[in-house]
Amino acid sequence: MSTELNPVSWLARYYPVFIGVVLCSCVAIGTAVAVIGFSYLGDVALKPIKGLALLGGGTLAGLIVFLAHFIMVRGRLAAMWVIVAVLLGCLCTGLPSYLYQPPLGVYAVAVLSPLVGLLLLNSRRHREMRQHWLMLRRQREGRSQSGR
Amino acid sequence: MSTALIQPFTTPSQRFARQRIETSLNLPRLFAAIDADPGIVGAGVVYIDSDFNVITLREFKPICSKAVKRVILREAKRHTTPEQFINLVQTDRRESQVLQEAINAGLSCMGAVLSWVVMLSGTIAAPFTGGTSTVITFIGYSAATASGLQCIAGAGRTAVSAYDQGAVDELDSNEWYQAVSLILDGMSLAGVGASAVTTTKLLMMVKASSGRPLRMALQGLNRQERKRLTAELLALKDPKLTPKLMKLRQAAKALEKRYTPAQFKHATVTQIKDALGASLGVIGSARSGNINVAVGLYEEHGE
Repeated sequence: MSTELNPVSWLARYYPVFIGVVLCSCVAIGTAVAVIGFSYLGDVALKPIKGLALLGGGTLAGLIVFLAHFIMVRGRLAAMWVIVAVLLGCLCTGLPSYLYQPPLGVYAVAVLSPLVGLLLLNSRRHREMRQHWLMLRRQREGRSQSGR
Repeated sequence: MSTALIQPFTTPSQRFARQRIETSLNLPRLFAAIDADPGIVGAGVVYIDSDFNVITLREFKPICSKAVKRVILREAKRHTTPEQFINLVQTDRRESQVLQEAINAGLSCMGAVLSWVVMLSGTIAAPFTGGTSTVITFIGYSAATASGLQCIAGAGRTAVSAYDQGAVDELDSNEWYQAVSLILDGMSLAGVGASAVTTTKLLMMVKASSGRPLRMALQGLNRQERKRLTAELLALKDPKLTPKLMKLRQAAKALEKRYTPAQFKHATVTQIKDALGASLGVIGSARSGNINVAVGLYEEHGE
């Protein structure tokens, strides 16, 4: 039964991995937006439109990742692939920007943050945590069906 | 003479500098120009001359905002060309600005760390409370989203300032950007309001239903107290729940009759973490500019 789970030790074990993925995707998206704006679209002069589009794109990517997390936490594990896709997108944005000679720190963060996020998603703890969520969802569904 | 009386600790150099500036600058016109901008009406004016004498030409008057705003005028050093001076001021600011943006981003992300722990523990707590209703509400999700977006914005601003710190200033001067960050601040502040209200409600309720002081309220309750408190908590989570409906659902085991101490403590801890996460979100937004609103709320929250 789920009562065997102690929330504090559960969080102590799994929360660092969980929030690591969230933070890595936040940093990856933010940096990717800056890289697009300054490396690829550095010569585009339409400032207000460019800024709005970039900010909107970043916000949209962020909302997608957060929504995927909310869905994943509720036990629908397929949502993980949405996070993977966004992280891969950030990585694909960051890598070729080397041709534009970005500041070294920005380049390092743009490449490393999606990689670390993917590594954490692939870690054993994250897999265990996802299995937990799946188990909790099964319990919830079983309970609500027996309740009816 | 009068200036010497007002500021008894000024050095002769500072006195001369003040006299020099007051005669060389058209101060009323300068103040009028500042007051013409609604964003900085009544801002203090500070002048730093070439010898690094710092002279306050006008004190801040809280007209535009409660937060202190100052316009700082810095004079070029002698023997530097205008180009050199511009370069100096810009590079001077550059490193500090990247660092400051990084600190801001770190604070926003700390807020995100704490808001997401509330979200996550709310969802794993659901099976413990019998899968009835989760501690976390829509506001918890939106506060998590808003603090995450602030974290993204912080990371983006840090990267942008590493490219070109003028771009961040330009971004800040855009009205749409201000509007967006205001909305985000508002969303995480809504998290503050909600969590402060629910935390206070929870603690007052513990006190009212058990008659114990607040400090002892967290240290375990007996069976009857837990039952009363569970009823209150369930009503708090779902205001539509009438006592009769609650009894029916408890009989059908759809709702908990009484929480065990461990479950109850977890709910309390969640609320406290919620409050903590929310107030850190405030620090993040306070440091990135939207000061008056955030600090006002922060102080109110700290009481």
